[in-house]
Amino acid sequence: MTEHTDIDRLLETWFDDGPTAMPDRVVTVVADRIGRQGQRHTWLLDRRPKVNLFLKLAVAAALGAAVLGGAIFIAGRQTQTPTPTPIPAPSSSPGASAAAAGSPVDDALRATWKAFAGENPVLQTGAGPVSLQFNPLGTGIEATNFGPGHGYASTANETGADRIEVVLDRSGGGCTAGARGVYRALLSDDRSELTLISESEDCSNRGIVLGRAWARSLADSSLVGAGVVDAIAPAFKVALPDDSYETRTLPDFVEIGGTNGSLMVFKNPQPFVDACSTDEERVPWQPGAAAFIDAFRANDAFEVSESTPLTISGHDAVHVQIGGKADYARCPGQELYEYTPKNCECHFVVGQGYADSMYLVDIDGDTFMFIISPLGTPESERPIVESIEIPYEIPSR
Amino acid sequence: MDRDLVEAARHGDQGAFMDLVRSRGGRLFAIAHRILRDVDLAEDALQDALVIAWRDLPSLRDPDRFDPWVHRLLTNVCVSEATRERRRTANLRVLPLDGPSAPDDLIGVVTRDQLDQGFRRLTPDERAVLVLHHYVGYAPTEIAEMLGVPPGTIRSRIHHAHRAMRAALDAEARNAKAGGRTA
Repeated sequence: MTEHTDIDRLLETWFDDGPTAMPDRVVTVVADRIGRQGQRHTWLLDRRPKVNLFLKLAVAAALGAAVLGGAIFIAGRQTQTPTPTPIPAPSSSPGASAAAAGSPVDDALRATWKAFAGENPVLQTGAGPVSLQFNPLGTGIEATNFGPGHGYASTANETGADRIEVVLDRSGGGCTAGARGVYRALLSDDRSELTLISESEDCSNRGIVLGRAWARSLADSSLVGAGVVDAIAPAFKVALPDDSYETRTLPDFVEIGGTNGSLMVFKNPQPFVDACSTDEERVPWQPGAAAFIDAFRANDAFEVSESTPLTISGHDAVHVQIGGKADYARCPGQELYEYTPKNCECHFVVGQGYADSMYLVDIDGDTFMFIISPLGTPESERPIVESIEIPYEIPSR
Repeated sequence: MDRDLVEAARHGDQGAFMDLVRSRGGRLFAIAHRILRDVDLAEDALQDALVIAWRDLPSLRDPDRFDPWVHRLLTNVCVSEATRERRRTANLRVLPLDGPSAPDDLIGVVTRDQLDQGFRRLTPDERAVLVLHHYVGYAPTEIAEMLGVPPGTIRSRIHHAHRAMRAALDAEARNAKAGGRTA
């Protein structure tokens, strides 16, 4: 609309009338929040040449990890510090270290856990997704989405092998403050799932809420890399190396970013026509991994390796490396516009001379692409690829 | 120079970033307020957008594009907040004003009320586009580039939003002729 009409003038006049001064407290709050909020590394946003700097750091870290890992772990366990520490090798239970009574719950439990709850006539709730959160200090627990008053925020303690005790903070949800409950807390071998079994409970409604199987959410902060991601549909499960993870999501895109590497997942990636253009015109949509790879083979800005067939979660899949040609003549030195998830108004770029290792799998008409960063070898990436379970059914009861 | 401030902030200088916040905060707050039509929501949205801007600033490739980049972040936060707000208020009915409306300087109170009601009925995306176009002064092509959608989509949103706003005003005019007002 370029014509200037009455409605144009009316809106401009109307918009001009209103506050134009920023409240002082915004400055105070923002200064405080950025003081606690680091800046995101570029590689978490667009995969850029810095990825390779990151690769060098990761290799150095990996070389040192074998020497330092055990020492760090021992120090962490001896002091029972609530600050994040590397997680020990997988154990069958959170209480394997036989914590003293009243100690915070094990690091491996400190996460957000997800489940799907059926209708419940006692709580008067319908069916739907629910979650359970242990706080980062391992001293508190609270459920969400079980309906008003049914969060049952409680202090939590590890009282023995596999056992946690919870004490209700405030009266509500049919229970009185101070109500105690003792639960067995059993982790699956890969620590992606937690089963809470009530052994004694003063608050029966809390027992209904807590007593079930849960899946670790990797969409929230976690020190354990095995868990579920439900930010795109269908949900999937994956086991990444233990790390401190932060997740970023866009429509049909999720990145689980750790300090030592990340996993990026795209649903229905769609290539751009012109790698040099910011117009971001897309190649007409064609479903399937093969069409995606063919589009890059037809684009002289990119180099595509031979594709290797494999299986992911029982589905036929393909592994391929796609990279930007070094010093591509049409726009030398620029990052190359590569693709976007079909349902996302966003773009992903790659530096010239850099490549990504892509695992593509077609499931029920949708294509999912997994990229493990930093770039490794098929052998080094295999444990992660083999751990992928898609679709993954979140525990339901 | 602002470019120097942006560069410094990109490299982690919190003081430089806060200088940018102070110099642009009024304008950004005004944009948020016009999209959300609520002081508290606008304040929250601005805070969130600025923290996201700080976090993601290293990704800004061209420091000279700082303003449109922040406008995009703020718009996205406002649209998300407006979407949530629409869900919360979808079942609320707007009650009619009582009594005669006195004219004010430029737009009558009744017209202002109808504009407000019509605006709130727009989708959050349409509201954002109208503010970016009529208040900030961006051309449709600039908005399209900023928000990462085709220019035709932006023109379509503006066209639809204008039509909806005209309809709101026409309804008011009809009611005024009939001698009554409804919500």
